[in-house]
Amino acid sequence: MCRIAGILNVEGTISTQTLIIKKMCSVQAHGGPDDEGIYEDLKKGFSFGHRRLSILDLSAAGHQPMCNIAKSLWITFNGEIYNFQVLKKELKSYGLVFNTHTDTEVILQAYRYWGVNSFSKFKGMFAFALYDEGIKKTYLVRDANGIKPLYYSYQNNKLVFSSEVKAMLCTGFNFEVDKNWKVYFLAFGHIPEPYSTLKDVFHLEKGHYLSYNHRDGAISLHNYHHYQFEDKINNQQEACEQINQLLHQSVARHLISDAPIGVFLSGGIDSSIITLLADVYQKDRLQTLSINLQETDFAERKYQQIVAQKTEGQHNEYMVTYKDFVTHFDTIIAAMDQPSNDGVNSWFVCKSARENGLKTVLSGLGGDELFGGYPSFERMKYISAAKKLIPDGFIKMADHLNEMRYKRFYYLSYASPIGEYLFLRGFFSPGSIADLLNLSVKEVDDILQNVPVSQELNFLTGGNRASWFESNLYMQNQLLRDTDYMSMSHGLEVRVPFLDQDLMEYVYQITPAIKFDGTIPKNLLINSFKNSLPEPIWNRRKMGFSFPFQEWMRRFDKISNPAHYTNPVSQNYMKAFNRGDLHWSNAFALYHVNQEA
Amino acid sequence: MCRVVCRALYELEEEGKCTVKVSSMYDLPIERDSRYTPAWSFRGFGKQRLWFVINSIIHLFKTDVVIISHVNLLFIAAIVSSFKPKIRIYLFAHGIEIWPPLNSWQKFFLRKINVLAVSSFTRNKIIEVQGLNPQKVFVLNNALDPFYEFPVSFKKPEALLNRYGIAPQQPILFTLTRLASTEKYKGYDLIIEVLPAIIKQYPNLRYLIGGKYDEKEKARLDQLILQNNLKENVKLLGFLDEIELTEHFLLADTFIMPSKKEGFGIVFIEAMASGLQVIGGNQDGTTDALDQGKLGILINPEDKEELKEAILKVLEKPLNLEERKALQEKCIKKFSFIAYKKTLEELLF
Repeated sequence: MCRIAGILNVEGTISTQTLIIKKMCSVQAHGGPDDEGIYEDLKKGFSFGHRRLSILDLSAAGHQPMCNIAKSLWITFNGEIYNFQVLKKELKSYGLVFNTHTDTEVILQAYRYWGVNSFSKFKGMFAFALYDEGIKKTYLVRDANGIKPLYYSYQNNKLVFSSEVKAMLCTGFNFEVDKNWKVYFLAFGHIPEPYSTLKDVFHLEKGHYLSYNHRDGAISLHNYHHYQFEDKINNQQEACEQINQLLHQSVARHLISDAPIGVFLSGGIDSSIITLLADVYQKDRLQTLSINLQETDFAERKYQQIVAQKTEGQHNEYMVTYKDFVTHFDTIIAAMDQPSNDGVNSWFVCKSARENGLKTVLSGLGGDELFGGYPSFERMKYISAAKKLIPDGFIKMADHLNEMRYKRFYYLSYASPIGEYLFLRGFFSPGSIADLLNLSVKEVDDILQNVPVSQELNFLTGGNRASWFESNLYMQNQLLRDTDYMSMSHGLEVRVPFLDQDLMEYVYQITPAIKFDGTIPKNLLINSFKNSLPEPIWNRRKMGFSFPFQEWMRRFDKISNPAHYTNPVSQNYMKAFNRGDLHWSNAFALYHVNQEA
Repeated sequence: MCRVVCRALYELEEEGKCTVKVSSMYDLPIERDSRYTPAWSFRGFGKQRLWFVINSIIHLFKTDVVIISHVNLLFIAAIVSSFKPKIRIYLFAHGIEIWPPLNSWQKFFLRKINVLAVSSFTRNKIIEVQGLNPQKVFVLNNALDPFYEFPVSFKKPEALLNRYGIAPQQPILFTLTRLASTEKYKGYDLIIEVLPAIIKQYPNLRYLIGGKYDEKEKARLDQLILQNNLKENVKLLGFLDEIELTEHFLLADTFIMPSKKEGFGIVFIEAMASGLQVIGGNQDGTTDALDQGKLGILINPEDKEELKEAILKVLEKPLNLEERKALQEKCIKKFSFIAYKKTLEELLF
């Protein structure tokens, strides 16, 4: 919803950094077009910046950085606290007083009352910095799902933070490029957390807060929230009822807005459910938004119509053509704060939402990861078996095959579980990456196997294991990041009801046997909405809101012409792409890497 | 034009009126433009002619109606029809591929099937030359592409003016066609020959020729342009991406192509659909595209003087905004994709 930035120093050590903060804010202005705010107290050692996209309390009362009445606490905050009214009511009962209608103020007062224990009480999406004069500390806090970004760099007892990596480049710090970023990118299609394209710039881990001590510049990291898979709920009927209720509540909460709000409807199961639920609360105020394509292979219009006709509100359709793709291509690439192999679709969705006068939209993101919508959920057991039964030496030979999807088998030889994820979703194999970047395969293997994964994976199997990969790697690093860049580039906020904490914590307790029952994908979710979700919506081929990039990128000279590529290995790949022997995502990854060459 | 037929059939299939399969001898599967045909309907053989023929024959046994895009493929239907006489066959007749006399078995077979001529010019010609039964030859004029970008404003696009270094008030003539050394009937030579006289009155006139060229033809044209001292005034644009088509029509003041062998001349209706006035030849299918002269100016494509007078006439009195809009509307009314689909449906079902 906004963009934040800040610089933290040991108290009394710095004379001026106003210009720097101002630059950090300007470069992020697209994500906060409504207002800018800067607050500095250099004696105390902090500068906070804020670019606002007003969604709640559109008045000047919502201006940030914000402080409490005593001015002992300062905050710069990006996000939404969906349970802020519940918390506010409780805090009022303890005698705390509020001056605004914002959720920002609730954070301040909640912290005043509960200290760092307040962080786990916030349900929503957020990234904020909070300065506490009493203990001379600043906390950087990121939500449990990592929906909102929070990058930081800590050097020589000084810490800078921002919502986007590009703001780091305005700080005057001498940032080097992380030499591994191309390896990550060619393997993952994005830069996985905690890394970024800049050395020493990291992403604060989700569900964590960082504490900065202004007395001596020391930092510490703390985990305040963690989702745990459990095996507690095994009654399907009960699970369906609860899921229905929790998602109802989530959607209701996510609809709280003083600015115009809509729902993105792709025609798939998840966005259809969100739309139908939103209809209950919005009725004729409901605005739904769909993107349509001319390409017959990608036609989802009839499914969108089926759902739209069941709602009371207004349905808006937008056509996106090859010409639109070409015309806006450079803008879309520039909107990516970090290189991404996806996100083009999101740019168009967000653009059309903004053109429709909306300031915030609900998306169905997260449903697949929670309920098993991807092929990985079925494939997990075969992967585990392959890893156990087939010798590594044999698996590694796969990289000598010609086709990308077979070369990826190599990743199953990795000891680190990251190999399983890369087998499922990776783009180039280590051999190909080594060729492209003139490295040894061992160097590539080492870089990739060093990407941190949770110890929890030691205990996860089957559907829950797949869910972990899809949520913590794919959704975390690809979908949420793309959604953030693209929505912010249009000054639009995207909300994700499936990532509601109450819903997620409940679903994590459901036994995998009923969550992923092996019949049809997302069967449990479908059954939870059996009475409202029309059959053609769930009884259809999953399309996953994709664009005809295989055709468009091949047609687009800027991407597909081998002559534009300096690296002869890339040139050969692009020739293969033109022959139809390479997936568009591999070609697009090469395009990105070539641009930075 | 084939892809327009494919799209029409796809839409009819979506309406539940038929099931469709498209088979292409030359296209590879990756070359399919999915706007016109979905993956599950399409088979591309990428020049594997024998497979194409065998596969087509096998499938035609399960087919009720077959539409053949080119007379050279007629033999496939002939083979099938000898075993399955009930199969209904339609052949598209475009232009020069079917005007010259065919061999005897082709003529014989053609008389038994239905022929869809893209213009009344082609229809009359093939009835006469091939001795066909008039009752089995129908006119199905080519139509505008279903995804044609219809302009709402007729302002000259600034981006193109800048790209070609042209000022907004400079008059622009435009031809859009493939420039192939093997095809010498498009008429741009004639335009180049009359230009010096026209430039005397309009010295800052520009003539833009868009379209893919082969090196031989480019060299020849460059020479012709140089000989006539037209280097400043004539520009070869090269291949134009489809997405820039409408913009180029908006850039120009007149579209001219005094061709002699068009089966129909789709480019004329594309130009008119952007409100651009056109000049075409009166000796081929262009007469259909210009609706016998009601939509544009028809001239003798071999008469230099007539061509010159026509160009001077349009330069002297270009169409105003209302007239451009009216031209666009008339063109769409006659040649819209929707009308085409309806006619096709009536013919087939």
